[in-house]
Amino acid sequence: MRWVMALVVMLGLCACGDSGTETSDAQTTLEKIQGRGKIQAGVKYDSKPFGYMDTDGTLKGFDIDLMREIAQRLLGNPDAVEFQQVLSSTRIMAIHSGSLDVVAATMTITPEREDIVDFSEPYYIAGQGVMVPHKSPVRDLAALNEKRVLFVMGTTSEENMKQAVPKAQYVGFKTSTDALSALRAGRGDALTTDDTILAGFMSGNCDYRLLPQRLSKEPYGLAFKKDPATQSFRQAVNTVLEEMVEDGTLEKLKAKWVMPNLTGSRCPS
Amino acid sequence: MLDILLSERVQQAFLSGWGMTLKISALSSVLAMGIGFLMAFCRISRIAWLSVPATVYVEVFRNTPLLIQLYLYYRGLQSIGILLSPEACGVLALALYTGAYITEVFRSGILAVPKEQLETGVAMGLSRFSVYRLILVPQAVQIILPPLGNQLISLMKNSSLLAFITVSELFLVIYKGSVDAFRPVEYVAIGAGLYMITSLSIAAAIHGLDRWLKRAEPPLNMKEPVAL
Repeated sequence: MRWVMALVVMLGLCACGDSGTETSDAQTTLEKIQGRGKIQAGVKYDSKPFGYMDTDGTLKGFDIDLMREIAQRLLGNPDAVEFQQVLSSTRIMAIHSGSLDVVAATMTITPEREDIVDFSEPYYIAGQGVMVPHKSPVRDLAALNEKRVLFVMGTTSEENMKQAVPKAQYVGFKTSTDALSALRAGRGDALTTDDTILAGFMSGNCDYRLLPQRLSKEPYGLAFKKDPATQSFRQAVNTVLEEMVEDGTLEKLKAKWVMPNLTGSRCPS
Repeated sequence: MLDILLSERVQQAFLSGWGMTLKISALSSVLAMGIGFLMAFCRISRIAWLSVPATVYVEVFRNTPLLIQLYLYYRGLQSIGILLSPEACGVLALALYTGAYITEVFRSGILAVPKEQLETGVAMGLSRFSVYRLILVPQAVQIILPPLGNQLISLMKNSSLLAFITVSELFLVIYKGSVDAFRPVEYVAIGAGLYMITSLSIAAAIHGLDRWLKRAEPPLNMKEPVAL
């Protein structure tokens, strides 16, 4: 009998806990962020030059700088961001569960995803590219039929690629670095993802090259939970992004992170 | 909820994943039983250079996680220049891992047949091979069959770990579907259903085989040895 009582008490405690969170849910995300003085942002740790852990152990990249700029303009402090790692395959779940205020993780805005999450205005437009080892005989997409193409699960690249090269064999990985190490080991003939990420892989070495074609345009957006409580934060972020376009900050970020990678190839062709 | 199954692409994905799971499981099961059979005899052998390696094999493979063994073949072999396909790594890992358990299943089955029967057989002038074929194996098989079935079912379910080394089996289909289509509950439920159908089929097959064996060849009465 005693344990039944204990169970009842425990359930009661749980119920109290629930009602506690309910009251805090009534706050909007923006109010919560202002209350704690920090934005909780999900970023990638493996997608140079957008979000990556540098050799000195610090997070760097376009998405990181973008979030710091947003924190500066909304909270007056570029360090008022707490970063957490997300993967392509986990970012939607992370946003949906409400554990993050925003996800800044090279996420393409697609109609399917817009059913599940809310996006900001696009802040960057990438293209989907295909990278092959430098010595590979593959010169264009058509040559990839019957070959093994590596992709990252939870991204748009698989579908686009399957339409362009239906006869290739597709192998999915959880992260782009996993896919890269498989390509390096000879477990595949090509790796497809956004050209910006591929450019990050190619910077500083001549082991790989990009095929000339691009499969799609990939407009990147910041993602928010689909919830009335997040709307004011999303609008505030959109206003910041607009300001950043007008005063040239966004262009500066592109020049800092993306341009040198995409144009700086000094490898023999 | 099951409306996702109306899409032909989803059906195709589930079928190909399920097919891969069945193929990998069948191949690994055959190999694991072969390994188990050989190792069981090594393990009960009185020759040390047979029994010691067999014991080491069983202990090492039973006492390390299957996922680590998988990564060892997938990433470890590649670093020393041996590049096996993910499917081959998976079959190898499943066969060696389950083989260790099956060794023990076979060994306990063999040891469960009273020694006196074998000695009697030898005393009656049967060769060692005939003793095994006529007395030991028919009885041991019936003891072995139920636990063997459990191991084969475990093997089939463990094959879901192959998703971690990019083998496109059933679990990878579930995982990808829930990530890409944002409908984890549906994909997981359907996938679990398919795994269950497979397990129950294996169990039914083993049960059927068990009954057929018992009818075709009534067991010698082991509990009360025939007084000579």
